Amino acid sequence: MARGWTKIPLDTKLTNNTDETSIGVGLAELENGFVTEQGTHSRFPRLTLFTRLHDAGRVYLHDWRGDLVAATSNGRFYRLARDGTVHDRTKVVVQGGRRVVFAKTEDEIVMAAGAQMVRYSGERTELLDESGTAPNSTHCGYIDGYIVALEVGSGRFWHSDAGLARVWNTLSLFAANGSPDNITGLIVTPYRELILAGPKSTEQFERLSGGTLPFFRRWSIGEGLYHPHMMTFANNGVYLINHLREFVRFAGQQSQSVGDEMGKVIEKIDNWNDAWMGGFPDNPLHICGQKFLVLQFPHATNRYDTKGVTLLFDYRQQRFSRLFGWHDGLGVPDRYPVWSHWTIWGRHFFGGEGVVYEAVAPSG
Amino acid sequence: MSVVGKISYGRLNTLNFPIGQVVLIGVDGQHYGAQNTDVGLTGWPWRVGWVEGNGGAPSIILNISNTDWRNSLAGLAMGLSGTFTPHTVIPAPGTPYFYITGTKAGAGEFVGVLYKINSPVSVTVVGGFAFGIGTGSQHPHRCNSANVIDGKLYAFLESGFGNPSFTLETWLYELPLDETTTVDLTPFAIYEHGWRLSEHGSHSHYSWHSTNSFNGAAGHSHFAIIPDGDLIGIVRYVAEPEGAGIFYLTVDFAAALPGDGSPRTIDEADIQDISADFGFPFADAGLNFAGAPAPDYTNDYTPSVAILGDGRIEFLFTRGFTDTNHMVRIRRFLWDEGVVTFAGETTFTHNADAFYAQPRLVQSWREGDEIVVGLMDLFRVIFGSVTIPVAEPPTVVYPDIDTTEEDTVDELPAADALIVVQRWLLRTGHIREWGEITVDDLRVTIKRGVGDTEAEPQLWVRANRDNRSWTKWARKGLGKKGDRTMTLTFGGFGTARDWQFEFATTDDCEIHLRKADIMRTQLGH
Repeated sequence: MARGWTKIPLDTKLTNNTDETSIGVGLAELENGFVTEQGTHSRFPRLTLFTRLHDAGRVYLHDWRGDLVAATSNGRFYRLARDGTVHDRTKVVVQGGRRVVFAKTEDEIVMAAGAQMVRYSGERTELLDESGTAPNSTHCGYIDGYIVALEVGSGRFWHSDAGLARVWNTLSLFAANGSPDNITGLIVTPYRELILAGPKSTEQFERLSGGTLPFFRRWSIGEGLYHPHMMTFANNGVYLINHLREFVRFAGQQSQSVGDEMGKVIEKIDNWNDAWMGGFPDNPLHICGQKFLVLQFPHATNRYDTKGVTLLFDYRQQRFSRLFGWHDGLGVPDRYPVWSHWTIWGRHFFGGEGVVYEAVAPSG
Repeated sequence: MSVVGKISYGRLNTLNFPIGQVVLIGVDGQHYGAQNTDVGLTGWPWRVGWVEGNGGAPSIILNISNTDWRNSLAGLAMGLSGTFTPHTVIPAPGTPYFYITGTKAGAGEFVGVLYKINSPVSVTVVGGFAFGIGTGSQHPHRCNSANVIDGKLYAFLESGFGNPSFTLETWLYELPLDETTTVDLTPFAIYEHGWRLSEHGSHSHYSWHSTNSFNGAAGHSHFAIIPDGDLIGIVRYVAEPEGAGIFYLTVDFAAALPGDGSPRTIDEADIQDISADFGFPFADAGLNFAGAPAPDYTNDYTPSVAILGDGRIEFLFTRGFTDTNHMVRIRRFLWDEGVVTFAGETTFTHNADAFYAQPRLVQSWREGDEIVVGLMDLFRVIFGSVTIPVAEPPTVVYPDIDTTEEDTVDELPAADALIVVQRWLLRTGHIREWGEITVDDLRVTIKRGVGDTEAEPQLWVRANRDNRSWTKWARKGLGKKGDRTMTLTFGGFGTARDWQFEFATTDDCEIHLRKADIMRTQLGH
């Protein structure tokens, strides 16, 4: 009888598009780890406590003028120093109950969460537009001196006056009406493209430097956005979950599915509430020498019958793995306990619930 | 558990419909309602309905006539004389109890009979009260709101006072809610059990305008009664065409009785407008929903209040729509230490049949993580529920952001309380290309020495053979600090044709797994 050492195939992709018994060469599960370009396995860095905030809301992170900033689902806004010192800077709560989307201008950071937009410029938060002209919005962005914001429940987006983020006129609006659907997502890419996505289509607007209108539509494609915060920019393209529940990347009008290994998983997500892709809008997670996007469906039922499906997508190697926390009571994996991530000072922070974590990669 | 169903009352007397908080939970855990009906059409002034009965027999489980009520009152043997007239049904939300109260023409007493709903076939009289009025006469007319706090029932009644002419006033009563009979027939005893809301000018939505609320439509007089420490808090939502706001006042139990026969009052000094605390233009609470606006400001939206058990108070605004009268939209606010989050909008669609007309009134209340909504037309109340996400309760008291110049960091909890266990786990697919083999040994090449100088994390390995079941975990140490040996061996795993391997650790350590090999002996193909 032949006898000898045989390698167990571990350097293959995580493949969850079939029943597990049908997986021959792929990996059936990879939790809290990733496969390097050498085909070896590493653990994803653990979450360690960075600091606690003053309320227990879900934490959404960004940065402003050298500090980490955090807005919570309870409406509070904090400025965080490198040593974890927390300064509560709330006067007007960040309203709307949705995920907080940030946009920075020369003078302030603007936040949208579904209701009136709020700004912070160093003192305390205040309404962006006290006249009430600016729309209630879930998404805002900054481009060439303009704040742009989608209008909730419509196919329109608004813009402030140039260089005057607090001045909004009733006629400063556009209709992204290439298709008759509402705008549900908005990104300003690092290439000054304005991406406006709806359930059925996505349109790209650009600045129009001459003339009286500041923007014009350049192209449109039929990739709808399935969930408002399931979109981000990385790798010179836009990644989103489209109307067919495919995970796709498009650059220009060329679109390509990148999530076939997880097609069945995404298709079977049973609860899309609060789903997000990070770091919105254009801050992918580059850690441990790898280049990741985080896709989280926090209320979806996972294979352990607890809540939370979190996918870690290595967009360089086109590989997936999964992230989990742990349910002490049941003794099974649970939702990965974060709601956002942001990178500043070369460090990687994750927003938990009333907590900011830091993921520290091993040295060397 | 979802609450779905309807109660067909026949025809309702909408003047006696308590706002917002009317559900009764029977001893059997079922949901009920007690309503004043149009006696001319139904033949009964009061009817008790069963939600889960869903409008059919026995949806109405009890009819109460004036004679029934008088007999029950007499049975309580409270020492009363003369003929009393019942006026008002007051439900004790969330309990099996409701009162039907009444008075006697001329002068005398304010009385109530306490009923308890045990099941669809059992409603019993369990107690009552009789309070002396003093002078004149009281004409209780409509229950505006009711809630149970610390085992007592608090209810707003809009009443006529005086005899033969009377003035219209709004009173807050504290009524016993235990299965005993309370009798206090001394003059002015009613002042021991109630507070009068004083009037401050007509047509001002900042005032407690009793006559206006009496005559106005239901939408103008939304009171919600909540506990506030040792006090009672009262929230009033005013939605008038010229403006809207939410007002708060407190009632101090300890306030001394004047002793001169005049009632304790709640006046303007006790009232504050708290709309600004919500960080949201509260005037829009009922108005800015998507959809067509209603033609007037009367009955289209109704707030209700729930105490979430962690010190937070939830306001729900529900609104029916004239364009789509099968729908209700809900907005939700949480009020906590003066800070409120606006927590989104939920659309509720009931699954009952069509209304005879647009819903005249919407009521809602919280039950667990569900909002139960009842829509009333002229004849029925139709119930349904919708689940909304429950925000995590705050664990830290917010600092006063107006007075704290530099906020401080809260004391951090012990580090181990915030450790997030993150199991690393790797599982292969079902490897079949080896044919039938015996695994005599399994060797893992992995970075070791990842522990500290005292503790040694462990790597776990197990196998699934022919998809029958998993072996027990085999464990090997990943090495204390300084350990450089990269190979771990785990021994044999038996014989099979279909192999699946799993590698895991829950320890807080780095994992750099280079490869894993098996020593296989080929048995067949």
